[in-house]
Amino acid sequence: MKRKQPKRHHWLGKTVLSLLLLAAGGYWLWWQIGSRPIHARTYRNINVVTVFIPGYGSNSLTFGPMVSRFQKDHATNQVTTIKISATGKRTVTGAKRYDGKNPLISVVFEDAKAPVKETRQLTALLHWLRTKHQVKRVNLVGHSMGSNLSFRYLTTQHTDFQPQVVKYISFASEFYRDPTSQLSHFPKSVQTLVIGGQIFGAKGDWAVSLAGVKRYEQELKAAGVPTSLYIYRGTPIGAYHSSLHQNPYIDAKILQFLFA
Amino acid sequence: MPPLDYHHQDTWPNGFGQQQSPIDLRETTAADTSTLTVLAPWLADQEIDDQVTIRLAGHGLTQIDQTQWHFIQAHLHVPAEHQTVNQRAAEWHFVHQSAIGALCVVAVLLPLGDGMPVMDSVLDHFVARSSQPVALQLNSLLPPKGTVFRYLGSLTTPPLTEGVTWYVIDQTSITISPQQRQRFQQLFPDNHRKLQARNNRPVLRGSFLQGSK
Repeated sequence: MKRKQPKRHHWLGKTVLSLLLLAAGGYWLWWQIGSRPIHARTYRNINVVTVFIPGYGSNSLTFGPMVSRFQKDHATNQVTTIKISATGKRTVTGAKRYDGKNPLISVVFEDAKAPVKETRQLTALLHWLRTKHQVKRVNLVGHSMGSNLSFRYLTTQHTDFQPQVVKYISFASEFYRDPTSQLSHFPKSVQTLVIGGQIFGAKGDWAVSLAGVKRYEQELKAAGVPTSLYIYRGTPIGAYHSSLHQNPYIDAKILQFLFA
Repeated sequence: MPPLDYHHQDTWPNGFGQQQSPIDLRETTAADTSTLTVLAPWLADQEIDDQVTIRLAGHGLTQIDQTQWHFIQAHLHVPAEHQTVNQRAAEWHFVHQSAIGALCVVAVLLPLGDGMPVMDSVLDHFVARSSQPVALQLNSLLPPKGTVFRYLGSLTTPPLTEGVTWYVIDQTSITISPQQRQRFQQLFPDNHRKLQARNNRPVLRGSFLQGSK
């Protein structure tokens, strides 16, 4: 009996390895098919800076890979990362330019678990872009809590100089308190895209419910905001809450909404 | 790290500002009823001496009106931190987090009375400077009805994070006995943060109902 055991383990190992290779191959194929619409497109220059705002407990990997992919696909030629420390100090790396073709800014919050403080830091960042770099128009793309920060920014009456928001993408997010009083302040000129994920057989993306995402879209629409909805349905590889910002189908949708 | 000094609260690290907790809840605006339903019981599996209170870490699922929240921990403040027309002896905080990281605290204000058996269990299991495995169901500390005050505030201990949705429930069916209060205060003499500036924040007052699944 003892002699036969290593042979069984040998076959088990081979089976597991084959399954892993198959899964990796499937993932690669899925990625390639999903990427096709992105590579095939030509993106026009809209002269608007797009700011990516990550969610709760996020880091540079939330939007860093996405903005790099957008650069590789020639949707932009200016990618800047702005890290904001817990005390509000900004460290700017990358292009450090806010002109050129569709400049993108990936924001990284050091204290990414303090949404009210992050909203204040986002407001200060946009004020800085407006006054120091003459950025007059921006798009906001928020994932999860980053979407709620953007919503709070958009529904606050600012007394300082701020850029005009042209488009807003909310993805993988939902309201966690009654938005009624804030919605009346949401600027009606902001074109909005709401993106959600639904894992096959689940009620949402394993973090945010599909009902919550749909409610987000419906509430904005009811408030007179031009809003569209996109739901990605699939396996956790693409539809899980934190996979949505690494998903080529969603990349394509974002690029189409912003630049096509 | 030294424990928080409740006698010198001005020295607490606080990089925030305008939306701090606790606050005086005596000026309010009338609002609709809030219904809270415990979808999965609040089960505490760790009882922790965190130097300023007893913290009960665990899990559970709660629906408040339209939003679902994950229960993550509970702790007690003696005396109560929030101020209503009634001066309460103690205040439970049931801390919840949403799927996208938002925080909400369901606070239950406790008058003096007969006391709840679960409070005796909490006190019996406590071991100073340590963390103990426990199995306590805490939703028995939630009243069937009461008055709820809703507002936007912060955590009441550092990091004093703002953006916290508060549901402060004033009620009379969940109580703490004088003996239980005394036992707690022998461990933690005073752990209430003083009232913070309201800064024109609206406070909504409505009826509270505990729903059933």
